[in-house]
Amino acid sequence: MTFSTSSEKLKEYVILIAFLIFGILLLIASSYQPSFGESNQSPGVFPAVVAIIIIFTSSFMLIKYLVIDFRAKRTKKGPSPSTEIEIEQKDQKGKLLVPLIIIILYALLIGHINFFVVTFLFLAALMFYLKAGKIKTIFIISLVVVISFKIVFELIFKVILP
Amino acid sequence: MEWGEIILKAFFIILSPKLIFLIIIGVGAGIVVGALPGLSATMATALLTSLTFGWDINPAIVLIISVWVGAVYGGNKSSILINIPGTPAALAAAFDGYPMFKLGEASFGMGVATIGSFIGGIFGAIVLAFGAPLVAKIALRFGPPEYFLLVIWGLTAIGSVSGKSLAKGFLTACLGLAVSTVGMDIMYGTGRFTFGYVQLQGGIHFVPVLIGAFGLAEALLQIEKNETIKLEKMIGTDTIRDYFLAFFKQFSLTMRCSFIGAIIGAIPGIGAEVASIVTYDHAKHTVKNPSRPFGEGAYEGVLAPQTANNAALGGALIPLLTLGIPGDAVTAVILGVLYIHGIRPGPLVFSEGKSFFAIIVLVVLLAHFALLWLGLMGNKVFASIIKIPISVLMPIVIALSVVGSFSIQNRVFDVYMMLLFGIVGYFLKKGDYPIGPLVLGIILGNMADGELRRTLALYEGEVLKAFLTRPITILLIIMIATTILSQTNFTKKIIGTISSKFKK
Repeated sequence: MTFSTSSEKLKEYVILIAFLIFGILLLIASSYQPSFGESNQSPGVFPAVVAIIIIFTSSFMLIKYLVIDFRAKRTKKGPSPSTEIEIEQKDQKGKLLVPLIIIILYALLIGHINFFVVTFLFLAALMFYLKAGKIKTIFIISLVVVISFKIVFELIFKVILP
Repeated sequence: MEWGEIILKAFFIILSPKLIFLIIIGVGAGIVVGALPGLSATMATALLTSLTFGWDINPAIVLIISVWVGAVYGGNKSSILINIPGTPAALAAAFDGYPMFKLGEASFGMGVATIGSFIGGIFGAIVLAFGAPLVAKIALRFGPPEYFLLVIWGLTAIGSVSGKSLAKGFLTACLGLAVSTVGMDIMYGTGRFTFGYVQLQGGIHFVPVLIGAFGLAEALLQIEKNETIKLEKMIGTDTIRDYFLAFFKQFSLTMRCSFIGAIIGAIPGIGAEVASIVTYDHAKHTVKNPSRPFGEGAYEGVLAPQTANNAALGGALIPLLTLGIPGDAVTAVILGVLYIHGIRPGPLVFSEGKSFFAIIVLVVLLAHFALLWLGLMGNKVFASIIKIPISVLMPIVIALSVVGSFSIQNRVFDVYMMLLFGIVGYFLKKGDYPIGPLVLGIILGNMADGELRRTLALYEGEVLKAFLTRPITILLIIMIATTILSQTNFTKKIIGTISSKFKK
């Protein structure tokens, strides 16, 4: 196994380190659970076992990747970052920022503003950003979707909406 | 009265226009419910319990079972078309179903799924009719050690099937297990990892996680890619004949998956979710020349879990009717319906209520015929959803994800959880980590936790005595070990060497 780009390598390391930290924190938190006399029946037993597996597996993978990386550097067959891929990925990162902000705002406004109004605004805003069509088309689609939600979920299936 | 007479009588009852109409309507409504993320079979059957309260037992049970059959099948539609499993049981169908959609074979995938569900369902009904007392006896012998190992088997299976790396599958499964421990402890009632938040006392429900990790994460990836896919070419020109040809080509696999699905479905608390994952794993290991590599759009990867899904349905009715033990949430609702109408499930069903048992078997059979008809007719209609451009479809998917995650417990907090796991799922997907084990870990986590601690309590902490002195646990340990070992590079090399020698 080799990393095709340096960003791929970085991604692998970051995720594995995140898993390792999560495992350590889970193990510490599990140790604070009450023991109720019999330690093997404590609420902390199961999460502790899970934490140990996470720590072991992520450490094993980290060591494996470090060895691969080290060997690749020694044989000078290391990561050969493709400039085109790197540029493409940088472009992609930028594209997700605005939609993510719109989605987070949508989630935060639910419960504070009428669900149908906020959903209509969300759909219109995101479709506009993604260039789904003319403003008039976006407006009509958003309205149709919101009305469909009202009919299908609220009137037919009696689902309680935010 | 002899069984032949009983079946004939049940046939005359069930073939009334009213009940046939209810079967068709029920299956149709069930397909829609299953296809819409956030609307579950449990929710639909629970709603119908109140609606059918004043009805006679026969129409009530006919409608509820038909909706259930439709919903279990319908989950594959959204798995294939938008990579959001409509029901947890349709999780495995997304592994190859969604790649099939991307390759322009969405309607073929759904067609194959329809045939698989039909065959599996019919098989499940036959198993229900003939094997009920036998399977119930085996399931009755399961204790905490067996249940714990069964969960572990389910997790190792999914860890090995939904990605290229077994270790990555393990990590996401463990993440799911860790998430499942949040909330009230099931044995002592103390708060675990709640950090003072009242909303976390009830735990993190798996549906918002499922919707976030599958739906939102996929929507974010699609938005990021901003690909212009030629959508009009993605429906395909396949016909019903192609679906049947695909089934005949994998006849043996379909039969095996039907059998596995029916058996797993009959084990209380396990259900269609595990059956679909286990059979996907089975297909991956036994199909020598798949149409494509698994995970890249192999129709066998859709056929196997969908067959098991509906086969499990017949199996799940076995412990319910013979022992009064509901296998899953839907059968628990059905149990409630039976009690409402004065029927007490148990051994008496086979002596005093034979005709009622025959009616249930016939409903399961006929509902699957309705499923075949409606599924094949509606395939192209469902596939037409993909004509919608991604810039329009993805915002709708996100809004649907919000509705789906909120409607489970009517809490905005679940929307936040969906958002959080959507972002986590996005990063995991970017790192090529499988999402399936995460969700299954959350679903089965509480069971694994409870059964492990119950085992330790029963055997006073003697792990070896608990797991190595019972024949079923030994068998399960062998199955777990085989699943793990079959995925290691060392075993793969050995198998490769042996098979190349045989070829020579």
